Amino acid sequence: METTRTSPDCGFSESLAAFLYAECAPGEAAEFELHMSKCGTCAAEFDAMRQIREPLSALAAVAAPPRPISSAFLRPAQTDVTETAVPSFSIAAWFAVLMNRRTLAGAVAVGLISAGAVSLTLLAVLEETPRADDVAAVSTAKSPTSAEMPEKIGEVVVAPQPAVDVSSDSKSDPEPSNAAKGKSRRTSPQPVRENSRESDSLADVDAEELDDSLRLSDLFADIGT
Amino acid sequence: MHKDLTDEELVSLAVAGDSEAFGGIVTRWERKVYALCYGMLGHQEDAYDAAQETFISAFRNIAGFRGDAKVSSWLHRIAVNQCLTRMRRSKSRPEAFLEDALGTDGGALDIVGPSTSSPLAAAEENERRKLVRQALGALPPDLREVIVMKEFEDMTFQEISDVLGIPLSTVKSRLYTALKQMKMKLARTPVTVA
Repeated sequence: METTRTSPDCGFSESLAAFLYAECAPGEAAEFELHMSKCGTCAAEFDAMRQIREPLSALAAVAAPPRPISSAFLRPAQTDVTETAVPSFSIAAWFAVLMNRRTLAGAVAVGLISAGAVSLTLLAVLEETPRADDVAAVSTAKSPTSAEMPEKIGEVVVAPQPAVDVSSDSKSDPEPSNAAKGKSRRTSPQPVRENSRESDSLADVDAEELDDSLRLSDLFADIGT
Repeated sequence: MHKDLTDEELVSLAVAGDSEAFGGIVTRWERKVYALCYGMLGHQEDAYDAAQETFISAFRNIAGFRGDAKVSSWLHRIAVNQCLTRMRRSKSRPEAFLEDALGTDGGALDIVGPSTSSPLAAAEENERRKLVRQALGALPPDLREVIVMKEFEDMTFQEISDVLGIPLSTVKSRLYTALKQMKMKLARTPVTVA
């Protein structure tokens, strides 16, 4: 009765698949074999499908991962296999760390706070560090032999010396700045030193104000005498 | 360390906090899961990414694994869903299916070795294999997944039925339909050797 159905829709399609993959139910294989012996269409279909399976199996044979998936998460295998060795970082641990959103959020927060603290520290350090032009001005002012040294600045920064030595220096020094220096020391160097302390930078001291203060100090000295 | 344990025991350990247990599951099943993804997607890197995402998804949901299905079936189901999602996102390229690993001329299939002896017959065999993988790539996803599970994974009908959640008879009929469509496509494109 079954053999009369010779088209592909003869009702044996499932049996054909089961027979092709050798997964027939008990009795099913014998029944299908009997059918196939009388149904040329099913026999041809079976042969065609069996031929397709061969290259499919070949495709499956080369379907191996290019690298172990676990290698993306695991450290290289340990050479020391003793139980006391430090355990490798497992996939599960990696997943646990990566996938825990609270951990991620915490790490991001700590990172932001750390970055902010470092930035503030750097800013504070930069503000405390003398600027390059300030340093240059100080070094220039402290160098009496510098050719570029302004004269009046020179008056301010030279350290006070005993009056006896200064008077002798001023006589022998032909430069006007040294003459003025001798003048300030001859009277009283204190006002000059006060002004220089009050200024943030020696280069910023106003020369005219210093002249005025010098004159006033002369006046006070005269009054005192 | 966990080599002697069953999948279900490994899952129980992983749920309990054993950090090595899930690694054991990955090591045990990565090749099978990759093969499934490769058969479904047809491209090495896509398959590798899908396999990775499969294990990530499994780890995320491992606490919800009830144990009423096998771990392998559970992993395969996640992998199939990953592949279907990827296939929906980006249209698969049937003309280039499985070619990035095998070479456009199908030369990598020589790894298996041609069954014929003469060079002409070997060339014909390679050409035929190339057409077969193109035919596989042209199958709709629901047919392709059963073929891949059967041919690439060597899963039983019952296992495929469990993974896909479809009746056993549907597995058989889909397999038959898939092979028939491949046969028809191959009949339209005769083997030609240059």
